[in-house]
Amino acid sequence: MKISANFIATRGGFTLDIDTAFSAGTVTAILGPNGSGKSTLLRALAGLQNVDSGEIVFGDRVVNAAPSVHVPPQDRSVGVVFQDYALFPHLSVAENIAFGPRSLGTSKKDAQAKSRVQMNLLGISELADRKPSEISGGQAQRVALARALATQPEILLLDEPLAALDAQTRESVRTELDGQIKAFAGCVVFVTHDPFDAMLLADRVIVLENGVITQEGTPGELAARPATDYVATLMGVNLIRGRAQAGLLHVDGGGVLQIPERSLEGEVLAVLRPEAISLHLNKPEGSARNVWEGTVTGLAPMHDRIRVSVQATPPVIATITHAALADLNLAVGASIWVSAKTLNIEAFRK
Amino acid sequence: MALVFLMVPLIALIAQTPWEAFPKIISSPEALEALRLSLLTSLAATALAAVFGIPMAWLLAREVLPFTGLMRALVIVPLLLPPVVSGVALLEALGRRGLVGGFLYDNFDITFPFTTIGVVIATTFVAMPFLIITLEGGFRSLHQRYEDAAATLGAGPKRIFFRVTMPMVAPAAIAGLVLCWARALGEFGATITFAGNFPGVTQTMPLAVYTALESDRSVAVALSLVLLVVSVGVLVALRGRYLQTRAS
Repeated sequence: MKISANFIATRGGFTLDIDTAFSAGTVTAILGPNGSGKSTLLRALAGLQNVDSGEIVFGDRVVNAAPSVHVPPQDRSVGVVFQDYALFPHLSVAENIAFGPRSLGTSKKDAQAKSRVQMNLLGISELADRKPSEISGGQAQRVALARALATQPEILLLDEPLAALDAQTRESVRTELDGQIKAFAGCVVFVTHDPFDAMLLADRVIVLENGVITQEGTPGELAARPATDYVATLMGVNLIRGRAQAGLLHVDGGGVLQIPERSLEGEVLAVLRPEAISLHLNKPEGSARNVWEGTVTGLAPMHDRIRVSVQATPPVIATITHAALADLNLAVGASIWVSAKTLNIEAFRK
Repeated sequence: MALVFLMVPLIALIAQTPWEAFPKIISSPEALEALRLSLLTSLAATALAAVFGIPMAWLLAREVLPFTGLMRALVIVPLLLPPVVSGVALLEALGRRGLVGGFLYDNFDITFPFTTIGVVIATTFVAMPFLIITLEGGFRSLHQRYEDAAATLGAGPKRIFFRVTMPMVAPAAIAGLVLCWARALGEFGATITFAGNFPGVTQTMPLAVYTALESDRSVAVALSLVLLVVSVGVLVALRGRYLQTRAS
């Protein structure tokens, strides 16, 4: 089945303008900062939010077309894993999972059987009689998934499925979730603000910023060719905008860089990886064609490297080792030379 | 000081209770009749309040109707109104010459004042806001996502309400019902104004106490003690709500 979503929805002064599609067997991540409309998009697909114009179509069934058609959530065949999971606190784990089948008219006995099957599949049978308050976050995540899958939906929607977990649990639950959603035959759409989750779990990523889709593609495409500063920052790369002409990139805001693609003309974006940038105390002489001077404006440790923000034309972020930091004796406010090989700058059309 | 001020009358009431005569007074036909009538009318009022008040509380909490703020204010009015004024207002509305009552009397020969049903109406009017306000708080603190989750699992509005919403607000619902019932049981002003004070028909416990005060003080004290015991019982039933120093 294919979902096509082409609609505008407003929620308290915020406007979400969507035009995209989701297909079965594909895991799609909706990636965006807080307040970008990710959850509203998910709510619209689930039927919890009405659209103001346009329509949402599941297969050949119009489930929402403003202003007249709005199929309520209970008739949409969607399974939703909510942020914080929203397990019913007054019901046991087994009853939580049986709630969906019971709601759809399955007999009590059959609903309990379905609940047992789901618990077996997700390895949570021993939790059957516990209340949601008596299980851990990782377990709650599995119960929420089991509950969503128990109605055998065609679409599985997950709202920040890993956000409620602590860092340690997150790693193992992410691996589990990867297997579980890949085994699901229908459409999977999940919302996240964590690029890591999007990269590891999704086949396709939709980037949402301020209620509009700013980029769609595979995780690899996003990393190689980020279309916006937000994506570039998430991917940890420098994104440089400018006009290309005869192998030169005239950067918006000043500066000229040599680029390998001599045939590229007009408005382009260029990606420069922080690890491909060298920093020098004095003007370097060597093979690097692009050399420019700037001022250090920030130093931030990350894992085994240091991120150095340099104010220059163009401004860049470089990563260096602790040893290099000591050699360069860097501090905020210090002046520094930046160099990058032409081959390390990848320019492409917008 | 405040505690002493609040406690001394209660202690006095207990101290002044005519213990030897107590069983006789309590088992007198008048007292039993008043007790029976009080239980009947207060339970009926609580049931009425539940039927109309629970949906109202939900509507207020979810703010689905326009002018929710105004409606909430209107719901609270009977809470603040002197009960005797409520009684007069009810007479003007439902009395034989009243706005609605006149129509009902003229066309269907229905009268409410000075009947047992009148007692139920008066007590419901005064007590229902307690249920609505308490339960609205319960509905409000219940996050919408549970109802959303139930909807995506295939539950219709009715199933969501009875299987998710109500069980989750059960503590507030019980507290609201008990408060409402306690208020109904103690109702005096609106009842005597709207329904009068007829033994066996509209003379509930508080009215019986008032009547007894004019003839036999010990009877009034004994009947009062019964009502005090009920109040303490309510406090015990709701201890989770009022005896804790901190909300859990």
